[in-house]
Amino acid sequence: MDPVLAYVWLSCCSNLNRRTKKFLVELFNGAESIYGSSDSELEGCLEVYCEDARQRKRWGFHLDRNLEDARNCMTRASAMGAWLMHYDSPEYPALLREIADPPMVLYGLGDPSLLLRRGIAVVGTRRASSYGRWAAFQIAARIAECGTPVISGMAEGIDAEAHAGCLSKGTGTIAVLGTGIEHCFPASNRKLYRQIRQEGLILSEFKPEERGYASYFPLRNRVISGLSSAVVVVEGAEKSGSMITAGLAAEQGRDVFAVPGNINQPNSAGVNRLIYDGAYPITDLDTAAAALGLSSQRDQRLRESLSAEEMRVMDIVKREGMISRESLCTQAGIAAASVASLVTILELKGLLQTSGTKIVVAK
Amino acid sequence: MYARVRTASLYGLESREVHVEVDVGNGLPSFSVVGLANQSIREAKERIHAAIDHCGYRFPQKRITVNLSPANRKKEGSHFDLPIAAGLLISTGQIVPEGEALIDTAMIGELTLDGRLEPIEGALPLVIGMQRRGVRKVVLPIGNCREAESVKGMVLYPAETLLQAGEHITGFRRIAPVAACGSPPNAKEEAVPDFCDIRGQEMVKRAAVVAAAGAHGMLMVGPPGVGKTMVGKRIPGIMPSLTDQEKLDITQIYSIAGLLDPAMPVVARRPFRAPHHSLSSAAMTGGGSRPRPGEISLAHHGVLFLDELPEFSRQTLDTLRQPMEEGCVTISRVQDTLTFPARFVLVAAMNPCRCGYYGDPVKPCTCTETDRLKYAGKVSGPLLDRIDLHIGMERMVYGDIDAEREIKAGKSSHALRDEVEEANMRQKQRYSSLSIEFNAQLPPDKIGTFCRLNDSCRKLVKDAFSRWSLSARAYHRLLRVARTVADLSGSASITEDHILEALGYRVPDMSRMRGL
Repeated sequence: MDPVLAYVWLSCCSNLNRRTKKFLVELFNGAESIYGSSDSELEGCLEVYCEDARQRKRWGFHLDRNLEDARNCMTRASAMGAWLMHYDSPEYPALLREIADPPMVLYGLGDPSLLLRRGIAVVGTRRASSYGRWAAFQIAARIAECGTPVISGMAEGIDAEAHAGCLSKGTGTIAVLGTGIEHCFPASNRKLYRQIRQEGLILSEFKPEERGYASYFPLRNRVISGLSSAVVVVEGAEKSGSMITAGLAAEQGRDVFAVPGNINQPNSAGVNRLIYDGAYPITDLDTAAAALGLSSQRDQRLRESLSAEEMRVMDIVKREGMISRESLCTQAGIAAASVASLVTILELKGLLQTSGTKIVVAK
Repeated sequence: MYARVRTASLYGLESREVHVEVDVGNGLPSFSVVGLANQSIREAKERIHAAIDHCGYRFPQKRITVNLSPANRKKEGSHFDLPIAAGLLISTGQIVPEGEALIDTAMIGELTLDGRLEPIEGALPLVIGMQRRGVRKVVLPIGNCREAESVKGMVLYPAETLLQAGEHITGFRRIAPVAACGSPPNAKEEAVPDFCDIRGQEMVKRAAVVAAAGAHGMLMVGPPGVGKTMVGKRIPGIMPSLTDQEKLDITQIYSIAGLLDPAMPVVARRPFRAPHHSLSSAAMTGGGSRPRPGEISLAHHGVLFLDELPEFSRQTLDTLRQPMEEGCVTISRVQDTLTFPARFVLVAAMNPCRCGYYGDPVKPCTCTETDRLKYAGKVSGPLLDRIDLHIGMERMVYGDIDAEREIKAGKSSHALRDEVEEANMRQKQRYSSLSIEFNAQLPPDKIGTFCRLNDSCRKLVKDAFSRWSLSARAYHRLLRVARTVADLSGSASITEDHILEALGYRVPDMSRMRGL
């Protein structure tokens, strides 16, 4: 039996919850075996799981072996150019496999190789303040500068800014949807959806035609944090989806970072509480980048892209420790006009820092 | 009896027609001047009386009324002596003008007690105004003749005494006319200090070239003795040569200020004014009880050098705003509003801190952080924001490095000026249909048209903006400077290198000194 089909069938089974599915897959070594086994065999193995006992007693245990639904999903997916990735395939992200209730199947539009890289989630409220939007964009951009993809939910507000910030630096972003991949929710993000489809990756665990239900969004949030090595919450009210994501992240053992906000703003009450409860506060982009383990990667990437003259200037500044433009001019033998532009471009790249006449290597 | 003589009066640089009417009638002897004449004109009576006596004429003991028309404008100046005296003599029949001699002739001049004609201030602008009104001939003191030769089409009659003037009017003994050739007398271009006197300091020399090329203001920050004044003094020398009209503009201003050398009454090179920081706002702008050209007008078409910028009073520096934006200064008085031209290149210098040695490689700075920030804060943000180029200077340390390599003398002013003039030519072409001349004068609404950026440049500017929190004004400054840098490199469009160099001249962030 086609493993993909088996996993799609398994994901469509509504009698079992996701933890149970994971348990069964591990036990039976793949969805095909589950399909091939009888209901009584399965029931026997599930006796371990008390949670399902009540459900079993209520509905009777029977898994519908009809594959029509599953085949339908697969057809619809390929019709729109999406690919499928199942729990057992080698490309399935390792981090995601480790969570207690991973998706059995992922439908994807875009570049699957993004899943191989270490990703960082940036999430937050739908009703973001202008500060929140700015912060989300900047943080996402900073993360993206190192080639690290930003993962978010393509909701309006913080999520949208995070995706935009990532794309602005030319790094693909990953959007995990609370609907099937056919739908773009919210409709206002249609342009973003198209852009991410082209330059990043759109993921969904739901059937392609599935519209969004309120309960799907917390489910989707667990995938966001499941895919990431760290989660940054930018703005969120006390009882918001972002707090749920943060909670899930903590359960999954991911680092949680939060952007502090004004204490008179309901939207910041959640993030401030996270900090109180031990989340790492983001006080400035550079320290945050260091805490996220980013700067070294970025400098590496940057240093590789320098021109010969830029390298020469960097070498001289490193050697001298602190130097003025004038001395650079004399020592490097470059004309004054060129020294001015070289120092400025290196400053913009974040490799040098100036103050008055002094130039030093940026920390 | 009645007489009428043509003359003029100055309002700022503008000269307006004044008719001196003299009426001599029956009544107790009196002499009154009406028509809003100021004190110096009212004192003329004494001078005229003595002068007339000395020349052998007779001062009439009658009821004399002199009216300076139009009567609703204030008049001032000592040049009314001659027209009043002439009017008096004509109205008493002691001089009979030959035919229509006085129709298109004006008279100006101050009289001494013994009847000689003294040269006056402001002769040049007065005569320029007359020429514009169609007055072809003017009788003037011989000392002002050379000055007035620049006014094309005028016929000048230089007189030494009142008697000579009188005899000229009657036709008895005509004064030899001097035809004004229309171009300023050829002044030998005096030696200006040269840039090759400065060793090293390539960065500030480059900034000076950019400043001169686009008429951008410049602020140098550095310890004492590093050469800030030296650089300032040499900037006029690399600015493009003055056109004839510009020479005329400057000479007019200096004429009113009484600063012209009688032997060579023309200003042929760009002015360099360096007022002391204790000067008042009135001295800076030209206000005060009697509006005269201030330092900013005396620096018109030249350089205004403000050394020790933080020591200037806030009030004085604030007066620079209008001229830097509009190129002129408007002085309002109860009766009149005078406008003096004031288009200068501002070059300023200051120390990095109170003791002057912050950042010096050898001498330690004795200021606390608070002191330093306080000192930096003495120059207002708005003024700093209007200066296009900010450059830091350091003392050269002659250590081991330089033992092997002798610092070569840099390019001479002559070579630098060639670069500047080429850039200047490009700007002239570009702005031929506009009223501006230099990139620094581009108003914000025209910047979009003339300083187009391509996509990569725009991205660069965007990066710079977010990194350094630049303002909208900083953006405009950046584009103007980038345009000049592009002109200096002979490029029609602005490239990334030009933007990068221009960014190097931005206002330095004095607050983020962590770890330095």
